Amino acid sequence: MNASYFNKVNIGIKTVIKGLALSISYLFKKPVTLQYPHEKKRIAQRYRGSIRLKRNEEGALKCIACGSCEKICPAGAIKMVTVTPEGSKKKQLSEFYVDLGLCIYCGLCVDTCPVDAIEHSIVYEVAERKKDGLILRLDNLGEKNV
Amino acid sequence: MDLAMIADSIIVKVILSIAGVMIVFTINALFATWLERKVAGHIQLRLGPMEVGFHGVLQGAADGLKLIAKEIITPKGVDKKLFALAPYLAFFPTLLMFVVIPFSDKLQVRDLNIGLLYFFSISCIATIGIFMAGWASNNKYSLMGAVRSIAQSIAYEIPIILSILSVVIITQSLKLSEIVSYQSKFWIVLVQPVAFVVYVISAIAELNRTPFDIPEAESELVAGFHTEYSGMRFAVFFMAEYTNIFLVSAMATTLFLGGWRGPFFPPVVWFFIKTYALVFFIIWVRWAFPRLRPDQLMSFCWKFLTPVALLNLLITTFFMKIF
Ligand code: SF4
Ligand code: SF4
Repeated sequence: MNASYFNKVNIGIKTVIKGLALSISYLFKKPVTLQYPHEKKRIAQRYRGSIRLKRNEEGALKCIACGSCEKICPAGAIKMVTVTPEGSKKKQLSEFYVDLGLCIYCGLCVDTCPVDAIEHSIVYEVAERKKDGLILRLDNLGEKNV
Repeated sequence: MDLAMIADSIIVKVILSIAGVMIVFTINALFATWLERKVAGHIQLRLGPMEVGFHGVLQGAADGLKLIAKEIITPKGVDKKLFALAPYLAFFPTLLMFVVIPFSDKLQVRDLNIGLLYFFSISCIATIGIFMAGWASNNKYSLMGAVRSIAQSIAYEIPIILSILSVVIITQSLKLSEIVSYQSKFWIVLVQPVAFVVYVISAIAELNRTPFDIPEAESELVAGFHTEYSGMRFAVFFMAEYTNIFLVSAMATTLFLGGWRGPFFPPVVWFFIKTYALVFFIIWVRWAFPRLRPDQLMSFCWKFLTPVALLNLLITTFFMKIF
């Protein structure tokens, strides 16, 4: 029984009270939890969400089927099928696939496109029940992408 | 046979008592787990359960259903009989302890002469269940947890008993109804604040709860003695834990806070208000402090709590002798 014993007891009691006071003060603060499916976070416009093809004013796809994005994609997520109609020199898209299961959302396809025809949407809820649902096609590229 | 006779018959009494105890036990298990998760959440600036029922009140029931539906796994190499028996041995004492709790002036299963002694002796049986679980699991983490649990229980039993002895010396009775009726003018906590503090601290240690939860320290022992348990057997351990929280709070209410006494509301309501205030405090402590080391735990008990309780007992005895 010396002074340091009582000193320790003193410190102990003080810290216990301090800890209790601090934690009870947190009990009445506003929680920071986001109730996710019920409330959603605001997404920045530059967010790299799922890939979509842009359209011009007439509503036609801007893509000129050059194939740059397919080549540069590091994950091999883009596949396209092109056709060259009779009497025309221009290639046209007949199919365009983006496999979101492969895509790493790097944005290289968007950067490399010569005519600015492809972009990221802000859609991030891309979970699917079947693996097949992750593949975006020409007909659902617009549907999944807001 | 008229109604009074039916109510008096021993079988009806037994059935009513069992039903009553089961109701209190079930509601407490659901409510205390919900309260724990809510308080834990809000102290950490989270929300806790929100989905099942209003603000998650039915989460406990949903979890219970899930645990019932789960397969009971008996791992290879365990001592099968002990392994299966242990959870129930840890659990049944908690039901037996309800017998002497005075919920109100009339609502008490049995007003034993030695109610206090009965309560604390029965509570010790649960420790055997815990050790059995650790031993039978054939797993070093379980065994370590069980050994620590025993060491802790033995150590903290002493300050608990010393602190309630001070109360017994004042009230001159081990009968819980008499201890409550003694407090008709003042609560014992007013004359025995030190005993109350010692009791609450040692009770938290007896419950194996943070900051004294070394028997199930997750970061070192996985989950301590119930590492190998799954499904309903785990749920039984879990329910025993929450029932024990209720019981030590109920006992503290009876011994120190005037039991069911209080103005305006009926006695039962007062009893539950006081008890759950203490349950809340125990939960609050859990989320305020980190875990102690085993050696700190032991030296805290032997070098501080026990001497304080002993000194308090001596002073109480001295004053009782003089006045
Ligand atoms: S974002 Fe990257 S990975 Fe995804 S399709 Fe474009 S280039 Fe490929
Ligand atoms: S890089 Fe642009 S224009 Fe070329 S195929 Fe891809 S989307 Fe079409």
